[in-house]
Amino acid sequence: MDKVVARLSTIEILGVLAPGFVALIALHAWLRFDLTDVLGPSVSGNSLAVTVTVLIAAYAVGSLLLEWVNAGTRYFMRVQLEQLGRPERLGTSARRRVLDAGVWLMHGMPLPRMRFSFVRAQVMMSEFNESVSHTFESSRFSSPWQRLDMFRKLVSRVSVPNASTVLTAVADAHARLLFMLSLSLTLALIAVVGALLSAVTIVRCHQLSPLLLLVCASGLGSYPLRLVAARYWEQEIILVCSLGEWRTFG
Amino acid sequence: MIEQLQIKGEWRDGVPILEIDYLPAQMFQPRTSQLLSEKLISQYRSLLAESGLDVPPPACVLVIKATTAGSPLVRAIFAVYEVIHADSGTLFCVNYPVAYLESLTSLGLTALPGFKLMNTLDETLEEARKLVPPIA
Repeated sequence: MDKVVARLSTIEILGVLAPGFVALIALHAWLRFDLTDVLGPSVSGNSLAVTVTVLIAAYAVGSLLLEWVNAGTRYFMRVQLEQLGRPERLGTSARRRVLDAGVWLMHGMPLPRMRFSFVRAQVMMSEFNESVSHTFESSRFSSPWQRLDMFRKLVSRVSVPNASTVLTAVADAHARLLFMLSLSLTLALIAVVGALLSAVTIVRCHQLSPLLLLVCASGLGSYPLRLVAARYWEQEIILVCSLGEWRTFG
Repeated sequence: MIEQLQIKGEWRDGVPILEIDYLPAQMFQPRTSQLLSEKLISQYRSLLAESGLDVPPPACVLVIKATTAGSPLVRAIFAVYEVIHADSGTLFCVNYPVAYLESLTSLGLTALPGFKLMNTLDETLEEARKLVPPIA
């Protein structure tokens, strides 16, 4: 068991397992299910089996959250960048506006401040990734940090002086970024489900639901986590770019 | 393969126009991005030199004739943009292959100040002429 856990990278622990645990705990607190009933008496009596089951469940939920974060943020970034590039496109259908607003609530975050250097870094990484992996048009399918993450992994093929220290720092920043984003999504989901349940209580019982406090707390907590994530993202970009100019890699 | 890479330059209504064409396979060739960037920039500089203008033009149009795109083209566009933007100019990119537009957007190029994506050369020239001061 220890060997399995030891094989997990910081990114997997912080970016997948930890948010998965938080989501499971939130689910447990919400639904108030008894773990012994779910697992059955034979499994729940064995502590190793319980640990493994919880670990697998947390990993699965964490992976789902991470994929959701990637897809949602990719969509958010696409809309943001489209609007920056072509403001006249803002007048879209009502359905699209509702979707955009929903995505903003769940995934909205500030774009990195260094606009010019940010684009430069994105172009450089995309070109490097495609030339090394011999793939084509990968930018269309990857979220901004998937591109960054892929670059970080591929750049180790090129000999860059003192790269290992920087790459370790980048991996740490990346793990924190994923942790913050997945946790932020978990809080946003708690807020959305809580809001729906509160609305049902208000309509049925004509009184304010105590859940509203939880809704406000998680809703308000979600965005600051994305702000922190944006800072980690900037940090990661700066660290990666410090490895060299694209001409060095070409 | 290198010979298949065609870059032309001309002046129209006081606006420099760069035109680029290549075969799809060109996007997979090694060193294409560097070559494209260098050729585009040198074509732009030679257009400036032949015009004899004291100040660089406020707008430049880049027309893409090819139907495919890839990271070499993106890098070349960015390299030209850097040169033009350094002179406080605007780069109008015309006819970028629609199927590849999403990658250009996702990299953030379309959000840069002084970079405009356009559909046709006529509307681009109309837009660019607004930036060019009238000849006294």
